[in-house]
Amino acid sequence: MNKQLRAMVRHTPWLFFLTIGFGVMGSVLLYFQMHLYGNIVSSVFIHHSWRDNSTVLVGIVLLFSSRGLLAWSAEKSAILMAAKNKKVLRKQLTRKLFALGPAWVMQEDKGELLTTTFEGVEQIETYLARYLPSMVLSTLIPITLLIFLLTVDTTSTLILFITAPLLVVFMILIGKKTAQKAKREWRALSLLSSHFHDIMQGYMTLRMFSMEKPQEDAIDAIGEAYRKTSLSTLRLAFLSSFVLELVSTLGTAIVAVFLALRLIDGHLTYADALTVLLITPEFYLPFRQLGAQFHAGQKGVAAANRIFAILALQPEAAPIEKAPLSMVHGLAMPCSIRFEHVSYHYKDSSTGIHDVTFSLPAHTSLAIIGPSGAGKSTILSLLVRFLAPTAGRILINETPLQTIDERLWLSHIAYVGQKPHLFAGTIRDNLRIVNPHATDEEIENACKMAQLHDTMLTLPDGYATMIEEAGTNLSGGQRQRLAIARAFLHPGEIVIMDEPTSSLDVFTESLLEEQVLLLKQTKTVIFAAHRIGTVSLADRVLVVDQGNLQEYGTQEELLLQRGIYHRLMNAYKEAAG
Amino acid sequence: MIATLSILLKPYRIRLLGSVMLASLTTLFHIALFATAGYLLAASALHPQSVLLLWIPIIGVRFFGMGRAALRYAERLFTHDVTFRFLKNERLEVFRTIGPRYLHLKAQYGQGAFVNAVTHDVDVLQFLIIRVITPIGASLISTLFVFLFLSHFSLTIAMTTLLLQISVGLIIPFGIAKFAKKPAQVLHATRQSFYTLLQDSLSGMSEIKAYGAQEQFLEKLDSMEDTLYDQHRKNANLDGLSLFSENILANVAMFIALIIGSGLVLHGQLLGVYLTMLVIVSLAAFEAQNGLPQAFVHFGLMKKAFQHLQAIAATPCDQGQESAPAVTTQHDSITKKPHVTIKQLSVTYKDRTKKALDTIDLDLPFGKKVAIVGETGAGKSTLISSLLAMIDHQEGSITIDDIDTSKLSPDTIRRCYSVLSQESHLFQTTVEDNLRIGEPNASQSDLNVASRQAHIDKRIDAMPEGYLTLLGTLGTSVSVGEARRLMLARTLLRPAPIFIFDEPTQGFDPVLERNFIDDLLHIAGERSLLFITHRLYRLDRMDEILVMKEGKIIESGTHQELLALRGYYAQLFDLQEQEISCTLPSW
Repeated sequence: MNKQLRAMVRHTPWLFFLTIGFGVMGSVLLYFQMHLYGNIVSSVFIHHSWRDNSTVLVGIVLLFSSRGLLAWSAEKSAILMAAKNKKVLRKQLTRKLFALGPAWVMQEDKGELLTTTFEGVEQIETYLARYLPSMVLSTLIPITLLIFLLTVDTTSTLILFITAPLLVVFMILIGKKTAQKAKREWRALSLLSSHFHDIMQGYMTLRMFSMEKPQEDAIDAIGEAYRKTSLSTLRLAFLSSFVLELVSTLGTAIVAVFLALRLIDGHLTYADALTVLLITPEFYLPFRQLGAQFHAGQKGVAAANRIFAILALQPEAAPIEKAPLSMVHGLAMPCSIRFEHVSYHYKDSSTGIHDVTFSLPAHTSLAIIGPSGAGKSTILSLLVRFLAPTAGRILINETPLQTIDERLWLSHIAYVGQKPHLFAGTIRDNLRIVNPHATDEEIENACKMAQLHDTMLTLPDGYATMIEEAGTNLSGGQRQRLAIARAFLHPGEIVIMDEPTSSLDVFTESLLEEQVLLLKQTKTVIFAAHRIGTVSLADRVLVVDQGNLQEYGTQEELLLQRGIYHRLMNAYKEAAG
Repeated sequence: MIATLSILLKPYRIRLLGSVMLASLTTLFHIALFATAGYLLAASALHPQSVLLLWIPIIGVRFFGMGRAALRYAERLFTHDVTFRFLKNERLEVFRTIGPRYLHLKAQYGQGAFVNAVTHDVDVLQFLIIRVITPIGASLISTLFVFLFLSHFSLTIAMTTLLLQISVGLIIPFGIAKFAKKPAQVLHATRQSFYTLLQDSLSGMSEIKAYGAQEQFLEKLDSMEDTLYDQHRKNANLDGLSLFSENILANVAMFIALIIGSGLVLHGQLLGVYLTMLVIVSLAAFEAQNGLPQAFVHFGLMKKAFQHLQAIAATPCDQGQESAPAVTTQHDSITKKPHVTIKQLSVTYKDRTKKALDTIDLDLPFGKKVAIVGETGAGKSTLISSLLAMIDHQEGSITIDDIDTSKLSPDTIRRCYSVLSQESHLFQTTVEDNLRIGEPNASQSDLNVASRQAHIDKRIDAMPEGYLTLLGTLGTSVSVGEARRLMLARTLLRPAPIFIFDEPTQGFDPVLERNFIDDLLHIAGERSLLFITHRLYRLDRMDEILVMKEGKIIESGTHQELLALRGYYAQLFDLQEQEISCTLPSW
């Protein structure tokens, strides 16, 4: 996975090389700058003369200004590189999510997907902008500096050369051992936070049971227990970074002492010694920086694991016809629909439909009934192509549905889900989504038919009213009507509708028979039905149970058949008296 | 803000001081290491007769080297310890502040929103010590010491270094922040709308796909992504600029120290042996400014969180939560079989003119079973809140055993009831702890009996650790139905004479719902029952049904009486019977 993350750099190789190049160049200039410092101090201190130091001063200014500019450019190119990759990655990810489709999204945790797409990609950005360059530079900068130092003083170079691998070893130790501990630590912290969130969520339950006071003690006790366990883990976790620091500070001290000893012996010029001392902290700096970025690196890798896993997913492919058929680009309407031994099996679940065969003539409305989980929604999802059959085929005018251009097919279909989603925007925007060219008059007409127009007039901004967070400013009934209005406004001839289960609340206004009747006049309506009233409006009825087709036929046929549908109607008539 | 903060931090004054001192020492040791090393080199270059003369700086270099690492270790541990102590207290304080205001806050912001916001605030504030107080304090102290040290040799060098340090630590971060304010706001706004669009795309994907709006949405997402990229690119310049100025200013300090120092040495006003040290210290001094820009960023975030919490603390308390109410009657005076009476009860919420409850009467002798039905907003929940002393009533009275509830403490009143509602919460703790909220002193056999009655005993036995199983996202997850049954067991455990079931089957599918309601009615036994429901199922078993609409009781009587009335209730009943799932019980 890490490899994939690193491979992302390939999209922007120049920016990455620039980031690294600027960093290395900065360290070269640093060497010269410190060298000049060494010379000036030496001439003043040892020789007590200024000589041509003024020119050297100009050199120093030039050098550190250039280093500043290099740091600026490195920062900029790192950010640019990461931002560019982020853009590419997020575009890929959003496309993949759409390709995987609503059926897949529904099975996943939506909040988690949102976080991955939004935060996760940002974390990868940090990884690319900070961690990755830091990792490369923590090798290149010390090596560059060592090469230059070698020309000045072998002993110091050797000391630094020996301590650097020690640092790396401890880095790896930190990476392996303490990262896990730190991770557990962070998890514990977020656990504590979610515990707090949990008791705040359930506060009314506590109050109803008069348990507020005991809960206060619990918060205290949990906090104290957390402090104790945390400190004992931290004592260990910080130990490795302690050793890391120790190596670099002691390294500096040893370099200084050895320089001093050789200065006394006169084996070294003061200018050289000072140069080495000034460079020593810069030698250790990249390691310290890498250590600081470690957490960002971990987060980036974790996010990348999830993102690349999603990107590697294949949309559930329909069993493509053996001989690839040419795509059909024209479709006669109204059309007939035929299911031929169609099965669909959900992953990790026994639900779905098994070997369903039926044939619906053109311009015939259909009600699908059955207990919850029987497969009603699956049949509708297959028709809207959120799902593709795992076996069998669906024929539209005797043409396999999978060979019809998806957009062409969908342009004929008005879909009304069970929990219609309302998008951010005005009510008008929400209607126009099914028909971008609809005039205001057409919109009003659709709303009149859906019995929504009068409600619109009572709203402060009418059709321009903004939808608040997924429609919380509309009642359940109004949201449902808005979805029906979409079906009226949609230019397509077929309405595929999941009637809301009224069992949620008898008091909430439900879809009215009147509207189904109206829709039927101009369109072919196929719907999962939950009420006797609407079922009886359909030309044909399909009864499913546990994924199997039980009964299918016209109202008269089914009543004559004396099966489930017949029993259902009778039971109702009895109950209604 | 500062005043309240200092109260919150008061118990930790000494520890805070310790943490700041340790952090300052860490920085100062870092600087001292280089100062000593510089001095050591210079002194060695003078070729002293004996190495022994360099004994002190050699020890010093090692001491500061090891000391810095050790101090850093101690500082981190110590600061974390203070943070954990503070965190515990902070949570408790917030819990105590929010609790009594819960209903008000919920009404004002919506439960999810304010709970999330408060949790976020608490999370942000927990880093107050580590990320703000300690770094800023340490920076101030170590800067001061560096200044004192340098001024001992040259006031000019000390002054210039100090000025440049202030620039790096204060002026540049604030200047850039000011400069970056507009772009940051624009970026934030774009990110917000991108997030909304992304959320819409995921939640509304069925519609988007079905309406063929996929390309349109992807294009919108892409173009926003492009805008984000452009804004990022502009901000990259500012980020680079601040890095540039920090870099340059530290170098300028070193450069000036070199020029002035050299001048002093050449004019004999400074011993040459100190020159190296001064030059090095003026660069190393900037270690003190390292954590500052971050600290300011966090300070901004914390200020926001803190102000938000203060605004919440200013919300008025819920009824009965302000302080200990004047209790004139003891709990003992309420019998084990209380008789609750509501007479002419009216409730009007603040800022509303319409009555939420309008002259309600209810007689609930011990053992009576009453159902309350009505649509959302009919006043059912308000009635329950009044009974539980969660809200005030303006007119009428509620009495328990002829004692007016205004004379009873909320706890005494609530002890009469055991509530299961759609809002009942299953905590992310063990099964046992969840059940014991009903009765903390319940025995294991009590737990067993309650779970058996709630038909959840087999499920609990099947859990990995039985009653000790952790529930929730981190432990075993349970279905809606199972969760509600666990909460039912909790309700049963409570030895209260009156059950209140407030729409306990919200979100169930019809089959599950029927089983659950059957069990509920069976379990109620001889205790009193108030059953609020949106389903007209099994209501023939009730002694009385109250039909509410717009805060009033519009119909009341038994199931048969209400059907015979052919009114609102009968109409609803017919509507429900139309449902296919109700018609065929086998489904």
